[in-house]
Amino acid sequence: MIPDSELIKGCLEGKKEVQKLFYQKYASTMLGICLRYFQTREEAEDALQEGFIRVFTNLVNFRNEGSLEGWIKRIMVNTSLNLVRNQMKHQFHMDLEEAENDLSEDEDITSNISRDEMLRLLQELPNGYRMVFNLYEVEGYSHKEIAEALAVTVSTSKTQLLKARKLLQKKLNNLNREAVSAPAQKK
Amino acid sequence: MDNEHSKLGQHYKESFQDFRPEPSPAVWEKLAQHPALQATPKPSWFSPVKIGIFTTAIVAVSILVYLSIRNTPVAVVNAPGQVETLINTEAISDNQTVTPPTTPIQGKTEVTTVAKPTTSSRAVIEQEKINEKAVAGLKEKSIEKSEPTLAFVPKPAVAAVTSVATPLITSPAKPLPHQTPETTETPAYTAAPAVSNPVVTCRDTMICLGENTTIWASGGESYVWSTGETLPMITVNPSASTTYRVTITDALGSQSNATVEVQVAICIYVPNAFTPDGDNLNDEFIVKGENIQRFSMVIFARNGQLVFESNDIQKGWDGKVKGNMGEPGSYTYKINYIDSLGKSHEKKGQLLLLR
Repeated sequence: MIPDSELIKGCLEGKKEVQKLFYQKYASTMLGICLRYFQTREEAEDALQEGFIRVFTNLVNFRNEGSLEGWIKRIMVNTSLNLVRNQMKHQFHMDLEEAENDLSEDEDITSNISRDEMLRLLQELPNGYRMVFNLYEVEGYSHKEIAEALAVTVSTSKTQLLKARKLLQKKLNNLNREAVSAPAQKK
Repeated sequence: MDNEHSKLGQHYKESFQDFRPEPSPAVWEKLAQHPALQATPKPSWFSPVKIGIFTTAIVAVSILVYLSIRNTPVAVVNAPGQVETLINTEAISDNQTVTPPTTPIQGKTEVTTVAKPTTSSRAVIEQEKINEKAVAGLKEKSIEKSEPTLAFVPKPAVAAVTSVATPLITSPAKPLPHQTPETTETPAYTAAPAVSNPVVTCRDTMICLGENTTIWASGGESYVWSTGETLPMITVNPSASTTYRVTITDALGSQSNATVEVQVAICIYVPNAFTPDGDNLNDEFIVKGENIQRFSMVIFARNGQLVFESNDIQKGWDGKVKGNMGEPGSYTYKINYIDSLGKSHEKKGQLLLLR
């Protein structure tokens, strides 16, 4: 595998084949990130493209101080956040009631659900919930970082996260019940 | 409020750790067409535009020297007011001294096109407002004349000086300094007693980030710099391009102002630590530089032992001393290099070897 430094050098020189290698090396990982932020694959791919444009534009400024992959991931997350926020008319005020419903949180219901299902449920979450859940749980941001990235308060970030978890859990529970009951009905 | 990562979140994180869906080919196809993927020109301060500016600097300095030689019979300085002589020059070589004329020249300008110097055009000699137009026009001419590929060729400069300077000499209508010049667009101007012989010298107006330079003024009794200093000589260490201004007052109380712009460029980047642990991240101590003509680097251990030597900027130190991994700790480097303008630099510093 070509080292990143060589890839960067070739990309900056405008070598198409190196740029393609660079893209191929990271595109799928980055799409995996973008997909978690958008409801459709089309939107995620748009974000991926947008993100890579930013990556290539700013590559000249990348100093080999951290990992290239981490740097690209941050760009992808930020690009996705920007695009999602642009879509949102009212930030963080959706589907509150839905999340208020009481749920039993501790059910171990995720184990037998495929990743595609998990992704679909995540994508069904309201934008605000989805962003905070992704940033906190998957990306590992702190509430402070989320607050800065989304221009909200830390407590908003925290409540959004709680509501996101509840709603997601509820959706998973429902799915699980269906999965359990469906085969039973067939018999 | 629950700040822990939930079981659900953990499960999501683990499930999506290696989630690498293949994007559709259309993404790359569109991306490949984007201008961001075309060749990025390396940022350089040795561009044709800059060469033009340098040429202009030569022209401007030549004019100034020329004017100061021939000004004596022309101008009579008697009106009240204040003369402001701005020297704003981008020196090409070290120790370039610019002497503004002792008295202003009230030549009628025959240049009709007024080309305002651009902000990036640093080599500006702003004489009195009357002459400003002539100079600006002249610069325009000299830029047009000079071949952008030829750097520092004095010929166009000389040609430009003679071609415009001649009408200045032969111009029949030389207004006296206190008269309003005939050209209507030219603002009225009254000459003032100026410091008889103000000189502002800058050791180097183009430095690399982290270096310092010295500016000194002479010809007066007291000096006030924009930095607040009042000594004739100041040493400056700007982190970005800065214009320094000095007000020179002579024994008779007349004043002149002069400005010198010191330009700061990032010439090389030297990291201050590296981790030669084989993880492909920051494994080499390597200097990044642009348009470096000649380069040499030596690295010493704390006991003075030479541990690395290189004449190639691309070649970095892998942290090994005679084949063995060097002790973690601090080392000293000394780098000598020649930048794109042929100027030599020395940079010393410490680096940390971390494991």
